[in-house]
Amino acid sequence: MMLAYLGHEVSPSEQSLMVAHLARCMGCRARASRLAEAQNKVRQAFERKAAGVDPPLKVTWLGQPGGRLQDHAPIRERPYRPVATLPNISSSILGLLAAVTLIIGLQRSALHGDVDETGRGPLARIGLQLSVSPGYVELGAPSLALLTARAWAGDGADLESARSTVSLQDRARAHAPTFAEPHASADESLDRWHSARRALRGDERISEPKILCLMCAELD
Amino acid sequence: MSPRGFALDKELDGLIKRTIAGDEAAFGVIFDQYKNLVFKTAYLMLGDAPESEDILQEVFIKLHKSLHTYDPSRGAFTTWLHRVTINACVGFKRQRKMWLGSLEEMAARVLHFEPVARVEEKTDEAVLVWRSISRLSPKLRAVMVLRYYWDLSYAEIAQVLQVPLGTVKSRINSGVQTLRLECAETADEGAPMGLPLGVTGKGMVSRGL
Repeated sequence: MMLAYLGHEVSPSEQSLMVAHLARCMGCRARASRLAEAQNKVRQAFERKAAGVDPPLKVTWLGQPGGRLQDHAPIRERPYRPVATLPNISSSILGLLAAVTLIIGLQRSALHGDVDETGRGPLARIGLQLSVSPGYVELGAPSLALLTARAWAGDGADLESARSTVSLQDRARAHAPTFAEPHASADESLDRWHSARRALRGDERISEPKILCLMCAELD
Repeated sequence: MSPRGFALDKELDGLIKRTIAGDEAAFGVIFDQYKNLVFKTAYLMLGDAPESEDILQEVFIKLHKSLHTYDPSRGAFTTWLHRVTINACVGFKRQRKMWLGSLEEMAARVLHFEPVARVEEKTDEAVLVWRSISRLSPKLRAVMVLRYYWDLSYAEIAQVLQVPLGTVKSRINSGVQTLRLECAETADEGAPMGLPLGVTGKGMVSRGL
C-alpha cells in the first residue's frame, strides 16, 4: 500500500486516507521516507546502467527475404533457433562423451590426489559437487586420506566404493578423536594418524591399504 | 511523435499495414524507432550488451514474422514489444542456464572472493544497487525494470506480463524490500550508503527513443 501510494497508484480515497494517516504517524512517515529512498536508488541505478549502452549505431533493418537482421559491423551472427541436423547431433553426442570422460577423470584424479597443507583434499579444493553425497566434499583431511587409502587399496577405485568408505571415518575417529584438532602438535597429530592407520589396516575389507601420511605427504 | 518518441497510433498503424503488405522499409522505420526500447530492456534484464544485441535481433525477427497477429485493441504496441522482449530474455536465461549477472559476479559467488576492481566499486552506491538488482529473480527484475526504468503504471505492467494487478503490486513490493535488505547488509559491511531523498513517483522521463 505504501509503495503504491508513493507511486501514485492508489485511488483518491486511499490517497486521502494515507495522507491523513501519515500526518499523525511518525513511524509510517519514516517508513515512507525509507521506501522513497529505496525507489530513488533503484531508478538511479537503472538510469546509470542504461546510460552507458546503446544499440549499435550501424544496425539497420535491411529487409532481407529471410527476415534476418543484418548489420554493417557490430552484431554477431548467431543462429537464434538451432536446427537439429545430423552433424549437430553427432557433435553433441561426442561433446557429451567428452564431458562424461572428463568428469570421471576428475573424480579419479580427485580421489588419488594429495591433501594440501590446509588439510583440504583435492575434492574440497576444486569444490566439485560431482555426484557424491553432499557431505562428501565437506569432509576433512582424515576422511579424504581414508578415501585415498580405499581407492589405492584396489577395490575402491570407483566412486561408489569410495563413497561407502566414508563410514570408515567414524572408526578412525574412535581411534584418533582429535586428529583434526588444529592446535595439536605435529608429533601428537602424527601419532594419532598412525593410530588411525593401524585401525584401518585392521579392517578386513581392505587388503594391503596404502595410506597417505598427512604429515609428510608421502605414501606409506 | 509521442512524448516518449514513439510513433503515434495512426503512424504506427500505417507502418504496420505497409510492413504486412511487404514494405520492408516501413519495418525499418519501426525497427529504428523501437530498437532502443528492446535493447535497453534486454540490457537491464541480462546485464550484458552482446547478449542484448542477440535479443534485439531475436525480438525483431519474431516481430517481423508475427506482426500480422498484433491486435491494437488488446493493448499498446509498446506493451506487446515489452512482453516479447521480457519473454525472450527469460527464455534466453533459461536456455543458457546462467545467472542474470556477469561472469565476474558468478565467479565471485562461487569462489567467495571479490575481484579487486569490484572492491573499489563498493564505494559507488549505484553500482551496489545494480549488483543487488542483478541478483533478483527474472520475474522480480522484470517488474523493477518496467516500473523504475520505463515508468510503466501497475496496470501497464500487469498487461505486459499478463499477470493480475495484485501480483504486480506484490512483486514490486518484494523487489524493493529485497533491495533494501541487501543494501542494508552491504551498509553494515562498511560501504557508505548515505542516500539523498529525491522526487518519487511517476516522473515521465524521455528515454531517448
